[in-house]
Amino acid sequence: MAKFREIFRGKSKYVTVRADSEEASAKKEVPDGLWTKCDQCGAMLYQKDLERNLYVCDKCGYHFRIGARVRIAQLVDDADAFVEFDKDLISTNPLDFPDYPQKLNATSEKTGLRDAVITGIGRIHGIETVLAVMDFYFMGGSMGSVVGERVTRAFERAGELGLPIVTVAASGGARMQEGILSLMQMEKTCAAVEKFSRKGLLFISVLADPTTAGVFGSFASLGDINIAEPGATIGFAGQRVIEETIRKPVPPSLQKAETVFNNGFIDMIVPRSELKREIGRLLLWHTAKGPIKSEKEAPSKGGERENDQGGNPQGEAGAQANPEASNPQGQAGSRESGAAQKAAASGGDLRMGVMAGSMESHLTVSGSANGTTNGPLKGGRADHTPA
Amino acid sequence: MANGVFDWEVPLVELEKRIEELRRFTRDEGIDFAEEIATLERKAEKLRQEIYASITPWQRVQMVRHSRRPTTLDYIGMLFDDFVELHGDRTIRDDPAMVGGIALLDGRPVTVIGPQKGRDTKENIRRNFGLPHPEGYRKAIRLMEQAEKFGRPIITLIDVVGAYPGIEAEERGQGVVIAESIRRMSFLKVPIICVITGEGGSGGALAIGVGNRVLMLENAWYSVISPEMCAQILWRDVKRAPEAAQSLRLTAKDLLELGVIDEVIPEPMGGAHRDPQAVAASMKEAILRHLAQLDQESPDELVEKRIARYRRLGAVALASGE
Ligand SMILES: [Zn+2]
Repeated sequence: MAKFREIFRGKSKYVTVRADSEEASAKKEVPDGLWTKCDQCGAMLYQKDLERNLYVCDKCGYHFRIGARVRIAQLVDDADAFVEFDKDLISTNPLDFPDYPQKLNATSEKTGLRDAVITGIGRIHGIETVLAVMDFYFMGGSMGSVVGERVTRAFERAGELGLPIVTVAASGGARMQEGILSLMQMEKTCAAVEKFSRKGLLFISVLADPTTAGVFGSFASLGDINIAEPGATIGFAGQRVIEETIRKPVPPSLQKAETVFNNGFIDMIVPRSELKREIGRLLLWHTAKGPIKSEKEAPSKGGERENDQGGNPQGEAGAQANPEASNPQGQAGSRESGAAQKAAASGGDLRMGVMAGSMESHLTVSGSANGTTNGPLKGGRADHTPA
Repeated sequence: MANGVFDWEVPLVELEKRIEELRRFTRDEGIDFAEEIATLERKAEKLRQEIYASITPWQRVQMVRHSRRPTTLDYIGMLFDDFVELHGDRTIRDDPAMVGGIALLDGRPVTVIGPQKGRDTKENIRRNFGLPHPEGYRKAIRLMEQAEKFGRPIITLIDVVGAYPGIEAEERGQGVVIAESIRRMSFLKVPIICVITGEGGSGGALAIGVGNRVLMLENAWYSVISPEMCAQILWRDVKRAPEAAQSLRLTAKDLLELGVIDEVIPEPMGGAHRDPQAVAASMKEAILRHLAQLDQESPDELVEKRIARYRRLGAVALASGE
């Protein structure tokens, strides 16, 4: 396990460039990384500027794909205070699918992640929130047993703690290598959403690029409020599959966030620079115990919007303009440490649950991770089902 | 495959033909071939055993795509005393790729739903090769909620390669409707029995496949992706579909072992099309038996147990040393 700890120590490994496939991203990820070319307008962007700009091209507004850690840092007030759930859950190879363990290991090394979602608890504009953030760079963000289990538990814990949940989807769909068990995660997560929802709690689903197939066909579609990032690919069937089926070209706009919005499946498209503020406002409106002061009344709005999050994942600037300071959110604040502890504790309980479940032939628990042999790495598209 | 005969069946079918000829001879010409027939029958039986003992997952996938394999409406005709088909999703149109309605199961009204493939080219075109649009799933949701209102059990018969991948299907929210269907089906307070009769293709199958019991015909397949698409994506070579079929563990036997299904319903050697009545009889017996068990559960129990059934599915491990 030394290997894994090694991986988790480094924070610099996260992929921050968009690529059409994992092969391409692996190539682009070369350590120099001083300049990045915008995939949309071709502008050469200085890495530091790009980072400060939340990985949005300042020339054309193109939203680069970002890994889960970067996303969490952009959304929560204090990334260091983010308490991660179920870190130690790892995938097995339940079908003995060829090359799968090698692929998992190679992907883990490359991304520093153990699977394609990070879940945990953090504060957004001071409001305690459970997050489940997917990472497209981990096998195309594909949903297998670990992703399904982590997402399900995130909803369960948010329900137990009475907290809102924000998910950020970035996934090509279900993970092929776990076959039918991946498909079953669609039911698990949908049922978890509904159980959570019946407690009257808020679920905000953010659909980032891409949100397709089995993830679009499950929890990501079911937010009380669905928010998409500009230009994100959102759809069920893969474009190539559609083209092969109907034997004609598909308009490139078909599965763009803007089209999906027009078709009525998304509540709003929010640029990354506004995302934290918008989520924060919605969280506040669903959690505040007293009257809420409109942002419109806040004197320092306008010009500060950009600065609010730009290059400042701590979001202190936002706290000024945000009404929660003058709201009975102190209540929530005093609850935080308790809730986080409780979450950690329940993590322990749930872990026991898995142990107990190991009696079942289909739920395998093993004491160790797979070997760390490096295997051939195939394209991102190789890890998810297009439909 | 030629004339509905699979390549691997050819020697067997040849033998069966010769036996049939000898029988006709005996009948028409009065010549006694009893001994020869008996010999050939023994030979045929041995061959049959050999062929079907080593049948591969890919062969099964082909078997359930046989043009004479019973369709959803065929089974509905055989399983139930009577059937009233209901139409339309109440939003945009009626989707002929998804059928549903109220049926009498030994005199008891149940709601039955399933994708419908065509039995010939003309019908296949009308039914979009059994690939439902979002409105097909909306119709299914409507009928399931209607079943809940009237306390009727729900039987779904699943034979679908997948939800239709098309422009209009995307525009009308194929992904969203599948998620909705899964979510609502999970919480319905009536017994749900799903039978995978042929192809169980991914989200398009699961959308009507969330049951208290999931049964599966012996040769049916159920997976997150079709073997062809898996081979195409993973190895960029659709010709490796047989290999993908093997790796995906998509057969009824595999799924029983994985805990995804509850029972395998046997088929005659060679596939369901060889004796549809016998298959329907076994299926009906299994449905009645499981329904009798589910009748003992309260509406809340039905929901809890259904959700728990799926909640435990997945293979995760704990990394040590944390
Ligand atoms: Zn640009």
